[in-house]
Amino acid sequence: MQNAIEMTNLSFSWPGSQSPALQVESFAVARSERVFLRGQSGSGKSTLLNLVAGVLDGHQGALHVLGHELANMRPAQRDKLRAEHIGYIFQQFNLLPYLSVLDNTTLACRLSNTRRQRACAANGSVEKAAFALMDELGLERSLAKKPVTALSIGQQQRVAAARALIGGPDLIIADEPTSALDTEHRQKFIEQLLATCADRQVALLFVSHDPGLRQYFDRVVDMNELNRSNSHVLD
Amino acid sequence: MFWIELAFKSLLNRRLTVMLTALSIAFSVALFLSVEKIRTDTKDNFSRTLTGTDLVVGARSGSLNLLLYSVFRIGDASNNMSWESYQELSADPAVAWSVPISLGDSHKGYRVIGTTKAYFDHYQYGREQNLAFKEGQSFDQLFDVVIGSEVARALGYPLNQQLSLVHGTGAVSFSKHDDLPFKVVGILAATGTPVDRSLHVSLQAIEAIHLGWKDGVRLQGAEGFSPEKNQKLQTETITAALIGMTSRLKTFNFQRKVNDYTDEPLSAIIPGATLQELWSMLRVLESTLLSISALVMVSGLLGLLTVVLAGLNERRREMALLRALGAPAKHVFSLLCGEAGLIALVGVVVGVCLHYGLMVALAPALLDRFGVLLNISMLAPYLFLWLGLYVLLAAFLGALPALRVYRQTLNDGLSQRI
Repeated sequence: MQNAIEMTNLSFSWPGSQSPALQVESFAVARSERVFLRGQSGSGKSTLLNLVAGVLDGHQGALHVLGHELANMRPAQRDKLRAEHIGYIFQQFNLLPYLSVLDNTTLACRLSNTRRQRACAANGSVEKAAFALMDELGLERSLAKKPVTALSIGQQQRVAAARALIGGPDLIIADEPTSALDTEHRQKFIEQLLATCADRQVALLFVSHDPGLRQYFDRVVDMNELNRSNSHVLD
Repeated sequence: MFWIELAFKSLLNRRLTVMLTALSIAFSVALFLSVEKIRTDTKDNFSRTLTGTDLVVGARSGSLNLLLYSVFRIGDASNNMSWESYQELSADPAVAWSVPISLGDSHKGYRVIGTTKAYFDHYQYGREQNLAFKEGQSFDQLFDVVIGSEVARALGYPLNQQLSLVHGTGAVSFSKHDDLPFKVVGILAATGTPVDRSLHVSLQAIEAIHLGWKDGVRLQGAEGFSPEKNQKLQTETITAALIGMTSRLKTFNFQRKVNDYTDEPLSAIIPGATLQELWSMLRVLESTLLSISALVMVSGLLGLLTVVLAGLNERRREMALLRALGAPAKHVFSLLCGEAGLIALVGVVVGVCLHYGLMVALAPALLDRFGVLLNISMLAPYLFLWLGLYVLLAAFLGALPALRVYRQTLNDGLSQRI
């Protein structure tokens, strides 16, 4: 079975820039593996995540995501791959303020038929799939009809996690999802996220600058060791 | 379907700003349409001050001068034409009808016209509309007067009101004809022409009040008019005449005949052509109104741009989120463009409704106060073109910030720099 993410001799330069922003000799995340990628801002981690998500174009070397070489795909195909197989959690502002908790959670199923079919196959209906995830992530079902603006940050991040996980994606990319949470909520959130990912056998690439989180993960990778490019040091 | 639903919910979420933007566009569109309407209708009204009359004949002078005093009652005639010439010319077989006009007196600043009853049958304005009586009827007795709508409104004259005329055209005059009072027997309906600001009496009445006068002053010891004595009231001169031809084709021949008249120097003008000439002199007014319209439209667009720009930070997060969920970039882009276009479209539709409401509400007051007759009708085709272009321009302006966000999203990728 292929890895969820696999990069070999990958390098990326911003247009007009002489030196590469990102240079990775070799990095892989196995299926169902949960990896903590630690890096300060400016270490090239945003570039790395955008490349993996298929939003940035024009890398050199090999970058395979879920068995696809992204360089060989057209933008529309990468959008489709992301819609069907990848969940993404931001640091904050993960939710559309004009949709309810339930509508936010099921958003991915509205955008992708594959996700909807998988959610239905697993739980019977999209709503049931959403409720199952809410249960697992510690969100009360009574929140489902509430506007997301009525939720605390911690609850919002759980909704974001549920939205990323619905419809059986193969890879979750979490970009500093806990930096807006306080210590107590942070620990609980990570434990629940990791448990849910483990249950569902989803690979997780978790990025944070906070070294205190490494204890929860199978494997920790330091961005400074991964990125051979020196240009970020100059930032 | 999902995208439309999402766009709709997103708009609903920002309904206050969206509604205010659409409203500001609606106001600018309504204002533009109304200014444009008043401009075209004023022009239209103006060039249709006198229709149905083929020629205006008066003493020899420039055509604008003749038009100004005979139709607009501005300024004075330099010379009169004789009654004999008028009789001879109107006897021409090409002439279908003729109406004599005698000017020179006034009442509280409003001009008095001595004429015949035929005036009320043949004077036409606008789309060949005849004068109509709002109250009463034409003059019958020697000292009857028919007043225009503005005279009646401004001076508050009802039927049977007694009034006296003064010699000359000033609002204040020392040569009064106050010994011979007139009685209001008719009030004309509003026309939006100088008729509204006129008083109409018979030619005989003009003669009567000037009996015993010479060159604008009462002669010492001369006998004035008194009803008991059966004085002869014979018109000797008139100021101008309105002429209708039996056929339009004969107009130019007759005009030449008048201009070449040997017994006395006369001029004949075609009112429509001279009115156009006069309007072209008022082009400053027209271009002022046009530039107001243009500025109003521009301010509406700027309002739209401001709101789109102000809401951009929020939209950046929304776009990054939708991109992360796998939405193609062009979908997200068209969402923003379509939104600007939709706001503009709603604004334009509401603006058109507002415009019609405004026109219906204002039409009576405009006619009454300013003599502008609004012709409420379908929007002119060129306005449809303008409004269409306006919506496109608005969509394009909305697209400019959208394009910026789009580029940023492509560059930032999914990470949001706040």
